[in-house]
Amino acid sequence: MAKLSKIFSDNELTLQPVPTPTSDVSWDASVLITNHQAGVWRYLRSIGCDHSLADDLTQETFVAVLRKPFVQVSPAATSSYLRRVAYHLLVSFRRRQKRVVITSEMDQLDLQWMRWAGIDGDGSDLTEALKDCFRRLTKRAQLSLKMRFGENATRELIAKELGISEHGAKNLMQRAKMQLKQCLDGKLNRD
Amino acid sequence: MIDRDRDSSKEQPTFEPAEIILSNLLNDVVCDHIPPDLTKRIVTQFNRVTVAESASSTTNNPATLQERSGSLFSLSDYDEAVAFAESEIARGYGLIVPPPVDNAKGSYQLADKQLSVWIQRGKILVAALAACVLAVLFIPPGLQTKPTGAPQNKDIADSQMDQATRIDQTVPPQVSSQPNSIAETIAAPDSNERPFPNERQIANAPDNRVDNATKPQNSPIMVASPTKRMLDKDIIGIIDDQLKHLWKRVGVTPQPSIKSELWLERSALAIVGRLPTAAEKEAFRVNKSETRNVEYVDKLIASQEFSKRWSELVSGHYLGKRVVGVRSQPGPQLSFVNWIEDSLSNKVFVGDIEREMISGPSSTPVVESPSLRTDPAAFWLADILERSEVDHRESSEHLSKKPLEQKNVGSVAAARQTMRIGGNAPMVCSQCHDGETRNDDFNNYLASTQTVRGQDSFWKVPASLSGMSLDRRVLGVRALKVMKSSEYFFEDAEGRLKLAVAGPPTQIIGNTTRSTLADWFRSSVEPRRAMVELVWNEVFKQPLFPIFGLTEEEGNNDRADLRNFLASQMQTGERDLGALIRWMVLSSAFRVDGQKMDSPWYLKATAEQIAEAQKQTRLFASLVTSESPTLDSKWTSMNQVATWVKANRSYELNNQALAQGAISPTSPNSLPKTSKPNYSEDQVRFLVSVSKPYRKVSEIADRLAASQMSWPMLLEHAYLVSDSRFPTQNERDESEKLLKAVEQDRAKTLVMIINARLGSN
Repeated sequence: MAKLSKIFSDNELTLQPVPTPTSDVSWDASVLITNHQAGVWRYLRSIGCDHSLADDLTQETFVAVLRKPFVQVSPAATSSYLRRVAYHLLVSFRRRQKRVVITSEMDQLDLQWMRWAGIDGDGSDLTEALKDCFRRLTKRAQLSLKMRFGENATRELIAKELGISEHGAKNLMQRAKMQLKQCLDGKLNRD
Repeated sequence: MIDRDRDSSKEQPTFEPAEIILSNLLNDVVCDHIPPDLTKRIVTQFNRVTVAESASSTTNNPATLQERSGSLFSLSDYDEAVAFAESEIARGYGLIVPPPVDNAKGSYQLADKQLSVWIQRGKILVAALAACVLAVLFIPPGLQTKPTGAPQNKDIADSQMDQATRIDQTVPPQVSSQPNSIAETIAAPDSNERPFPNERQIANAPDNRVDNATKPQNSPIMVASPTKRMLDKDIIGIIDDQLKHLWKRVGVTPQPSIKSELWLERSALAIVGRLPTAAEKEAFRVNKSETRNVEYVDKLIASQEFSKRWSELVSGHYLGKRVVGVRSQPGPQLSFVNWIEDSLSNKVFVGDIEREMISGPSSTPVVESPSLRTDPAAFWLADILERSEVDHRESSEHLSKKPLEQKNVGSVAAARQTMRIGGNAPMVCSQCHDGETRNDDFNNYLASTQTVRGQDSFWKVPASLSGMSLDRRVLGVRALKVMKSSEYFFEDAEGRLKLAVAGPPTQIIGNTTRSTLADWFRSSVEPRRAMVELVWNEVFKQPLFPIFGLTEEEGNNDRADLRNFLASQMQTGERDLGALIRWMVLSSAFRVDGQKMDSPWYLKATAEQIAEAQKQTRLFASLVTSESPTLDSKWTSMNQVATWVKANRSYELNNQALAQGAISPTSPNSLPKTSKPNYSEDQVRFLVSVSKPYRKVSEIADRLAASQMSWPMLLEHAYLVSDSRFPTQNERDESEKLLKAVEQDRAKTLVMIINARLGSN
């Protein structure tokens, strides 16, 4: 711990491989952060954190991990380990906020993330696949989803813009999301 | 943020992880959000935490660490998260992606294709264990170190293990002690592979059933391990913590603790149903030991009075009727209650009682004369069948259309009762249904009689239905005819209880279907939940889990968590009923005071205050007990009140005036007749109920029925008068049906209801 604090002192990013006290396997903290922060951030975003919270929890995840000796066994194990630390920090955070955390549901989210993003994936493939799938949607479907998820527009507004009923807008978006899901399953399903 | 389209919960009642992740990712995709570079932030924060940590360690004041570092979490949070994650990775979580669960086949049915994954896991496991053994044998003790990242102290290790049992219950457990072994070691096939867990084992595992939404979470129970036998003091502490957690979350301040003398009375009433004797009070007073409360409770629980009182309650629970004045009841029922009493006094595990009761008679009963049976199992079934037949005959006079009951009234009644004492486990009826669509009537029938509340439904309605019996018999309406079929209940391969064709006990002796059901009652935690609910209701005078009258926020998982926790502890430790009552009575929650809702308070209270008081009661922040002084009113009869109200109805009176009327009822007309009475329905109910001047039930019913209150309010009042509690949702639903049956005659319905509660005398 003392060594780590020296290395990280004064915000200098002069990270060097640090031998852990229990193993001769070296690891590079800066590489760990660089390689995995995007994956942790995307994971947190995907299971429901807003941007600010995802930033904070990503930061806290690495702080929690770096406080202890660490051995990189494999990219998959490291990736899973970081995700689980982030997951438990999120549970603690929501518990403190007096919010209900249904762990079984969060577990399902976690599993779904692994199915799509892969065990060692950082989510970039998933994002790219989603972009590709999104482009294959009809223009109207794209517009409805953009309004919904980009501009936070109400269903009423979307319906008005598309010249359809509110119910029609809802069906359109549901169909579009179903198509996206099937497309992602086809591209990414790793079972 | 989790899912924008989930704002309409009615449209999406099911949890769809893929859709939620998709919605969240869509936000980033359409807005072109990319992950920020947080490296500098992470390093800065790490330095802060490190500095704050070292400062805290020098000042021995770890509480200030979080403030100093500006961190979102404390060190213990970090440690906990890391320890849990290490535990999961050590178990192989996240290294193999399990396939999606096929919901159509049940949540715990494994797909065939998983077999190969399991075999591979078994190989990895064996290799990991072999590596551990080799390491222990050949590495000198001085060089042996803890595995990297292992918890640094025993507490963390313990909590890690506890958490390991809690988290990820959908993933079959993996056992390994070396994180790196799992990922890297691929060993040759070994004949001693870990046995592949079959579906039944998974289905029967505690807390691994479909009731995921009610698993312990987000509460003090989360920290504990419900599946591990705990000490009584820890369980009691968790009850306290859980209720404190609930109160804190919903912003309720509990009433202060009561004095010992009052607690003495309250405990005696709860345990043996009477006030403490003078000798008991004196013995308690002179006992100066710190454990005198425990000694007092244990003494009461060990008494014969306890087993007598609770044998009646438990018998009523099993039979689905109120068992009062049991000594004057027919012999078979008396035998049944005596058997329960013996079991309770011998501290028999509740699961064993239920297994024996349901497994069928131990000897061949006399079918032709069920009333002569003395076997508890024979009596239990025969009583349900006979009563259902009688009830059906009586109710069919009022109900024009009851096709279901006409077919198999006995089976449905037995199914309902078994479900009830089975903790409302999902069951299916194959008695007369052979397809999904044709089961709607059965499910609707069940749904109409029970509380259904979203995902946490008290009932699992609709139950999943499959494998219907095709060779059912056409059954008559008479109970004996119903009993001539062959089979009864059984649990199918997916862990669901099924009601097969009803049959007489003689034909199902040794039949695996009924004994399987009995074994399920013994091994499953779900029947324990029903028992926890029963006992809680009796001790705290409020239902634990059904959350009628509360908002979703107030009634969410905390209560279900507590019920499940207590049920798990009962099941895990095979504890008897006395232990359960002991936990409740010795908890701090049992010491909260009742509110002093006397007449002046009630009449001066605003609607908000009354609502708050009711909410407090339902959240156990204020205990309803018979010692609560509620009769301070000076009104001596309801005639007085009625006269006064009638005389002043047309004037502008306020609540204060009514209270003054209570203070000087002899001269009600002298009150200022300036304002119209604006007392609430609650206040009127209170006025009607507190004095209880009625000599006959019909008098209460007539007065109530003549009022302008709505039917739900009337019903609540009837239950307040008869049972000092509000009706359950089931009772509300039943009363609606009864009301329809007697052609909306509210007075007649109330008489029937109150008679049913109090007895007709």
